[in-house]
Amino acid sequence: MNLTRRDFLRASAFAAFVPSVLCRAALAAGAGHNVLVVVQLSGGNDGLNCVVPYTDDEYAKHRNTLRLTAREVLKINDQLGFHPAMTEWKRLYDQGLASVVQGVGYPKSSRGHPEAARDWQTARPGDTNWPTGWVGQIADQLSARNSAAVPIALITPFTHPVALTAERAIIPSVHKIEDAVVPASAPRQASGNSLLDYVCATSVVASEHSRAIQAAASRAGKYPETPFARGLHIAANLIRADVGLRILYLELGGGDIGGFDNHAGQKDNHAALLRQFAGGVAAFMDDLRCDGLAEQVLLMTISEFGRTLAENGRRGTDHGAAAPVFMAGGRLKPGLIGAHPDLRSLDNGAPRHHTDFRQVYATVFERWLGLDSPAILGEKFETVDLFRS
Amino acid sequence: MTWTPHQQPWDRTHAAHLFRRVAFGANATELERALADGPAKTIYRLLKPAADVAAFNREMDACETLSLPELRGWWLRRMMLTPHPLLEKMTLFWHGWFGVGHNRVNHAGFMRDHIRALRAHALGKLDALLGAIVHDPAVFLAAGGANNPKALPNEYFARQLLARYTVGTGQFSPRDVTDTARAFTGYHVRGGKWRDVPTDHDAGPKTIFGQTGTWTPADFARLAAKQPALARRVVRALYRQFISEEQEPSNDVIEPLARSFAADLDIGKLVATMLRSQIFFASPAQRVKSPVELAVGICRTLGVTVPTLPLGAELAELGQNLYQPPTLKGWPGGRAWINHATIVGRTKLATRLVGNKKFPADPASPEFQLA
Repeated sequence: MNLTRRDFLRASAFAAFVPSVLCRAALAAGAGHNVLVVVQLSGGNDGLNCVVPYTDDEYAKHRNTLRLTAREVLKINDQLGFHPAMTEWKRLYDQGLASVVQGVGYPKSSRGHPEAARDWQTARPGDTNWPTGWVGQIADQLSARNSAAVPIALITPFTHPVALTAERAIIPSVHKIEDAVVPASAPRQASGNSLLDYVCATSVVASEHSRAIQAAASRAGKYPETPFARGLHIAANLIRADVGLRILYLELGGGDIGGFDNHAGQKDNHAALLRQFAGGVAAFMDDLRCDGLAEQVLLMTISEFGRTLAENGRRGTDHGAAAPVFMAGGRLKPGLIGAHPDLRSLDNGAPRHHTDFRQVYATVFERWLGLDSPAILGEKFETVDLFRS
Repeated sequence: MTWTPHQQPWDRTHAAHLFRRVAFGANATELERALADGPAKTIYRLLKPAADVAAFNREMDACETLSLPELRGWWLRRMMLTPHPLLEKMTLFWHGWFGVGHNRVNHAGFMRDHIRALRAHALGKLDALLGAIVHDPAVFLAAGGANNPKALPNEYFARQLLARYTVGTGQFSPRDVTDTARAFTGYHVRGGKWRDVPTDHDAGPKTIFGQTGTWTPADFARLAAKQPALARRVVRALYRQFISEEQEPSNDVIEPLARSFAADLDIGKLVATMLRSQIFFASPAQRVKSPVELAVGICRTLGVTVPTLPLGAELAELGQNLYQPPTLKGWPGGRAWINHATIVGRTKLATRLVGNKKFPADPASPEFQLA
């Protein structure tokens, strides 16, 4: 499916007078137009302080400086609550626009940053020779029939992560929306050189896309003043422009100091990151909802691992195992999905996973993007109940 | 017929085509000289420049540091300034062929030495090139060959050596895999160092490509270099590089060159035959300029250099990150360079590099994207 929604509307305008509202609703239901936004939380996010088991003695006992109490958390139910910095996320959650898949991980994580990040991003844990990332694989698949198509983009500032390694497809990095703006390119007659015709045709579509992106970006959005929110604003504009993008990839944390890898002094830094995350995502969803696009978008977080239950004596936590995956979007089954990990049955000091991250991927590939998940993951994984049917 | 040397006509169009394809373009002086000299002499000079290429490259080598962005920048600068642009084009060709990327190698010194080895043999003998490759730690790391214990021969690495680097998929037997793996036992890369551990080498007889002996990696290189299947693959890849990315050549076209190449293993001679041919001059605008070719071409045509550190990063975003091909398969090239996003970036880069200067072509035109 290479047609964009605009192509379809343009075509259908000649075919029959279908009200555009109907067209939009009908197409939004099809996986061919759904967009996936991936947010990489670099460094290993402390899931226990995101979805907090505030009544659990094990939690209270092991978290001396980082413990969040019943008074502080944003209560989800009588056992769990979100981090107090996630007020905007809680609002989305209460509006039915967000969900959390709990206890996500995989067997035999090395718990080293590059190795675990590679595992999540290739979706082939342990295979150090696997050449491509899962997003890159999808890019190759989606552009196989039309090499001019650009189904995936990276929103910077961020260098290409392993996830975006493709064999053939060139995945663009979008720094600012103006990068996409080009002078108009008029169609030409066939030249007799099919390669030249290909370049011409690609230029014509690119300049059409450029105009659509300019138009989409002309509206001001209400976003917090953070780099992450700016990236999401660009993402929203690209989605609004409807230029055939299927996956947008962003990052939060930077994987260095100030990121999610909080071995020391975690409290304030983690809170700041979660505030940026929640504020950015909520602004993004609000923006999309104004245009009736929320139902077409799914945002999913990935992080290489969670963190240990016990603090490490430096007011921080160490590399762990399972963590929650955060989802936002207009077609999610809202709420918590899967049980909170049992803190009495730890995996080497950290919450144990009950859901493989590839199950989450498989669900998103099949149900959201309409792709054959074993072709990407190498095997069939049981799906998770993520979406409203 | 196809490979018969081209004689006439010889005009500005033909000379410009030749320089675009093999030398990143020509400045006005080079073009005038080529017109005066005729095709034979011009091609000879592109293959064997009168200038002291070795001295130039020694100077450039001395500038190289152990930072990847800087290595990338220095290579681009070398391409812009070199008296032997075809050598850099061929070094880039082999870089794509071996697909060795820093993300797997993770060692700037190994990467630097890898590209230097490719340059040393880029237009030389294929057996010498492969001889360097089978002792190149960057290759081992990139192709999953860091460990080759005698107790567990590394068949993954052997398969890459056969399928990617030499004879190609479907052109080797299971025996070739097991015995190539055995030939490489005892050669490891550990802790950032190359290790040749004779006691860990399987010194027994092996059969590779139907020949039996107590083969070592050097023997593998020698045997592989002579395989007709490898000669055909190289000729096909060079056809794509120099003649057309659009038409898949028939076996009749490939076979005569592959036969003589398998006999003399002379890469320079093979390239020379292609460049002199009628088919070379009959196939303009059948290739897409790679991002590096696009940028370096403008600079060489103008006779200028530009800051290459930011340029290296920009070219990476357009899909060609030097020292980092996407996978072991290298850059796919051709139409894959051009999509709805890269055409925007490529056009902007080209118009910016040309600026207000007088230039023989319109950098914003679709034609400019092709070579």
